[in-house]
Amino acid sequence: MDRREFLKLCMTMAAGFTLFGCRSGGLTDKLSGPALKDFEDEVRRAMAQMKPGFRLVKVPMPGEMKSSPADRENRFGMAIDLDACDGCGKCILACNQENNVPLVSESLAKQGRFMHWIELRDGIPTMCFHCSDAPCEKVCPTGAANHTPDGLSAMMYKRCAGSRFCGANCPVQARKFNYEDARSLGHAKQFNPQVPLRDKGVMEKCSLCIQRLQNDRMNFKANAGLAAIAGAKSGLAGITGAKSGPAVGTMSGKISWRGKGLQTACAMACPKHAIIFGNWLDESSDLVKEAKVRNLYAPEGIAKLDPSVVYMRGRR
Amino acid sequence: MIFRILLYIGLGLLLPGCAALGYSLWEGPAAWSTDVRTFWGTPVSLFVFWIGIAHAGTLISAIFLALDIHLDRRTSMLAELTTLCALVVAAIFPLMHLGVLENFYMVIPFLDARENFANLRSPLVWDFCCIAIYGILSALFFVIHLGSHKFEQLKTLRKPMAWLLFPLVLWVHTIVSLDFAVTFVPEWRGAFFPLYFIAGAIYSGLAMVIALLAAEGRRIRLLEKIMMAFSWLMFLFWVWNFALKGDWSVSAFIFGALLPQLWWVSSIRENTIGRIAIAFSAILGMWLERFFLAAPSEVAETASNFGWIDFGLLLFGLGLFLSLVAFGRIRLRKHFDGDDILIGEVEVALESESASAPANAAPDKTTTLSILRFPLLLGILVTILYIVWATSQSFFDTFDLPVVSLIPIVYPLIALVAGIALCARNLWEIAPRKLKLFFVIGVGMIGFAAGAYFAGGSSAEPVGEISGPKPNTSDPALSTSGLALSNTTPEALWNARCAACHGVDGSFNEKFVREFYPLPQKLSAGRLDSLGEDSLVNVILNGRINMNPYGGRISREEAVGLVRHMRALAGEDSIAGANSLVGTDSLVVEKSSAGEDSL
Amino acid sequence: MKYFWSGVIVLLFGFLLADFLLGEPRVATRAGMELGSAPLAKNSAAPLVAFVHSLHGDSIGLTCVNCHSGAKTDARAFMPTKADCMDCHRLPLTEKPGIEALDSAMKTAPEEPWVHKNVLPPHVVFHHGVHAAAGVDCYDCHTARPGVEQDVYGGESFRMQDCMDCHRGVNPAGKFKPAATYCGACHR
Repeated sequence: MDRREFLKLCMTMAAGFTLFGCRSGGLTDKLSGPALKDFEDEVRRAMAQMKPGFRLVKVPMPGEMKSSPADRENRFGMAIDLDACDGCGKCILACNQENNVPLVSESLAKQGRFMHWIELRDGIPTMCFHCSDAPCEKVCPTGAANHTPDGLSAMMYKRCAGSRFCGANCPVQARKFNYEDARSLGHAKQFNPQVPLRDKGVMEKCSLCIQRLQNDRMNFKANAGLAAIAGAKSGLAGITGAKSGPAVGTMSGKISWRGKGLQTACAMACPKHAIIFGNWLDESSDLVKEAKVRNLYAPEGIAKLDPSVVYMRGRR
Repeated sequence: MIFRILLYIGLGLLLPGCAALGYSLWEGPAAWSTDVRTFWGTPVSLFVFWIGIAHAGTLISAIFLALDIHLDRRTSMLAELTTLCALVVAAIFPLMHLGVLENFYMVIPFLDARENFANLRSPLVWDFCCIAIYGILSALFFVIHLGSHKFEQLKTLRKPMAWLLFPLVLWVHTIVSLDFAVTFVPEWRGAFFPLYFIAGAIYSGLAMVIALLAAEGRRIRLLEKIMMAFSWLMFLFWVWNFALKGDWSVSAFIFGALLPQLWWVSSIRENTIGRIAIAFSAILGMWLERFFLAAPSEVAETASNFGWIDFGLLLFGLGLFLSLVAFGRIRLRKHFDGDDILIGEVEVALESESASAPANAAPDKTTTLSILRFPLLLGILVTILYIVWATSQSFFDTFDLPVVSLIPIVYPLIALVAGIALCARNLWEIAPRKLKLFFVIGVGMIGFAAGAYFAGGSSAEPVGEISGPKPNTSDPALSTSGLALSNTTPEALWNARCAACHGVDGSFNEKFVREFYPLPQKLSAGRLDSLGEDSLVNVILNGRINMNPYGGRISREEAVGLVRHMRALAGEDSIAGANSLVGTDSLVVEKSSAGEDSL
Repeated sequence: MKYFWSGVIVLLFGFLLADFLLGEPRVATRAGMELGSAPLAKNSAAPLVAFVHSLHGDSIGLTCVNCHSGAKTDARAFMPTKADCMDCHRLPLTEKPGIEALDSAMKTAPEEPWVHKNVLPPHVVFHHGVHAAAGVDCYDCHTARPGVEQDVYGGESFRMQDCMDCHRGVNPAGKFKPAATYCGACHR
């Protein structure tokens, strides 16, 4: 056998072995999706393998975003009342259903790698804190992790290349990586048609229910013109807002959207009302009213990064 | 002959390696051992390891050349070949590390038609640029070295190229270390990281070159001395790291710092096998160090997760490297085996082409500078233009791009432009025709790829092709059956449902109505009041004469809202409406009297 | 030096070729929508009657929103149901001979006669109402030539750069103000 032939043989063999490697990982398609009970079981399991908590330090009340671009009227966030929270885990399930968070296979579950956007750490619900100076966004090579002007650390799944740099740089490990193709494994269930299912190989994390904010903002803007005209024409503004229309806030005479009346899924699910969602820049929101009289805390690792989600404990 | 054996060994290692590679490409990052905290694992450590080895080759060849320390052709060629092959191996690992491999191009800092832009603040983007540029320039350097054997004009280019590469080597590995050093992971933080990484890179690279030189049957004392110096440097860094963070990996220390000290034993040092063993101990130590660095969770946990895929990837890297080096060495043997070759042990071998003018270093320097001047200026100009362009882009309203974050790619860009400007013309002149053709085709393909990148895709995605479970049926219906409208103020509902006949303002939509229908009821304030809300709601829901029932399409509450809206419209323009429609008044009255009874 | 220029030209040519081949036209040509083309109606032997937008539009005093009831206010424009069509078509509206074919097609048509293919992937948020409120006409996007109505709609393929141009304020004659361009405004 001469060298040329030998090399050719080696090439084909290398290609063959590569293909062999591919083949042995064949996924089996499961047609039946998981049931709600599977998700409940998984939440229970995750709570049983609880991770250690973070040291909490005091933080000031979140104000306007420091990074650009910043919206001067809206900065959405949450405050979690640790005095009220009893760690029941209902928020986790609600979040999973709202955001179509998939199940994980046994091997990942054993390592505690659940996809849950909310985790209980030492009994405290922990999710992405939506830092205004977010370290994950700085290192994302493609710009898939980025900020909205109203305070959300958003994630563009289609732009994500899965370098996992953001995950490495998150001090609170809030980011979850899609190690497996949940759809073809039958691990995903689209509870909420408003939220797309994520592909294999992308990062995901708490989005602060961005779909609710988007829908509410757009519905508001689409009807703001009509509502304004009707309100100006006659005193019939009360009637026009009859069907639970988005609330209207005013600033300098102009009607603007402040996200009134919006709730995240976890906040709605909390039986103790320990999670309060709202607009940090809206003085009249429940969030600001409550946070003003409480001591605010955040995990030590991100306390200096101006988080939008904070903990409340004790009265001031 | 020894390289033939190495080639077979390499190919032998490659086969299981390929299987592991294929499996991990298919399975994704779950295939290999990853760290729970950082999601990083084997490929990243292998990448850092191989890029380190890639640095030493050029370091030996280019830096020594730039500093007028002459190595013989065989050594410097081998070092450059090592660099190129290690770069190829190193480039594979970050790619396979990605979760979505096909999105790798999004890292390139090049604008597309939507003005999507890579996040130039990310060390990963710097990393990509630097390594790509380093690869291109190393290849150029190697080609020039190959060609300078035959073509006189290329010889003058070697030294300027070496001067361009000298800072680039250090720059690139600094950037690689920033991948770790800028993060929030406590084990990775530290201002000493760039130096630490460079030292580690040179150390492992020297060890690799020494091992390969042993295979070549030769020995360069200078390199061995430098390697020993670096083993002590690494020792100091490890101690420093331990003092700062309490991190200590015993195996890396033993293999990387302790075992190489056997060099002091002359019987081992003088034995080829002993030299190779010590070089491999250093290489292994450096690899272990990188492995524990990339996955900073509990060392024991990381080690226990080390599965056959990780081992396969390790073999893949080694196998690919060995086969590439051996193959390259065999193919290019006539370039290695020149007449000027010095067999056996040499301390400092003079390169034949430089030996002709050993004494006059000063004119040599000035010619280097004069050759470099124009390409460097061009490079600086292009880089400044790029920076101005990049910072002036608005991208999306998602981040500001500070000029500071562009600094890491400044020198590589200058070097790229300068290097290409330096070599392009000379290389083109000596290139054979076939190569030119390939080159033109290659440029066309690069242009095509860039254009494809720029154009981007269309968002059209046939819904029917989504695999997996279908979206819920509670998806807002696409047709207006039932109560699909989710966002209806009465005005909107009126405009959508009623205005076709009754008009946006509550008078008629004359154009439509006159052509096709009998005129609908006039909605004057008095008439609406006399009928009352309930009966009007009933008319909307159940229909009347020419009006269709909207019962299935509008809810009762919505109908009430519509009636109130109707009343509001009538209240405003009852007078105007009456005036403008005098001509049709009688008709309306007549029809309304006919319809009154049925209510 | 001439090689340099030939290199530049080849590079440029490749770039433009790729842009030409891969940058799709705004509107893909597609056959007109036909009543009864829905998969639901495939079994019924209903004759197919092409829908002509120009017969139903300005010429008879109707606007898009009269049939696509969400077009001005809702996220989605919606296709009309059979009931919506029958609001007008239950009367014989014309003497043209084709009307009988239409009537029989109408009788056998299913409740939701129109099939609409959603061309936007699920990670894109598009709200018709917001754009209408900002003064964007339907045919600014749903057409081959912006601002010109046409006979057949549907099958448009939208590209993100078309969205982005307009949102950045680069649109014909500066008709619209710049709008939000951060990712989270339109993606989820």
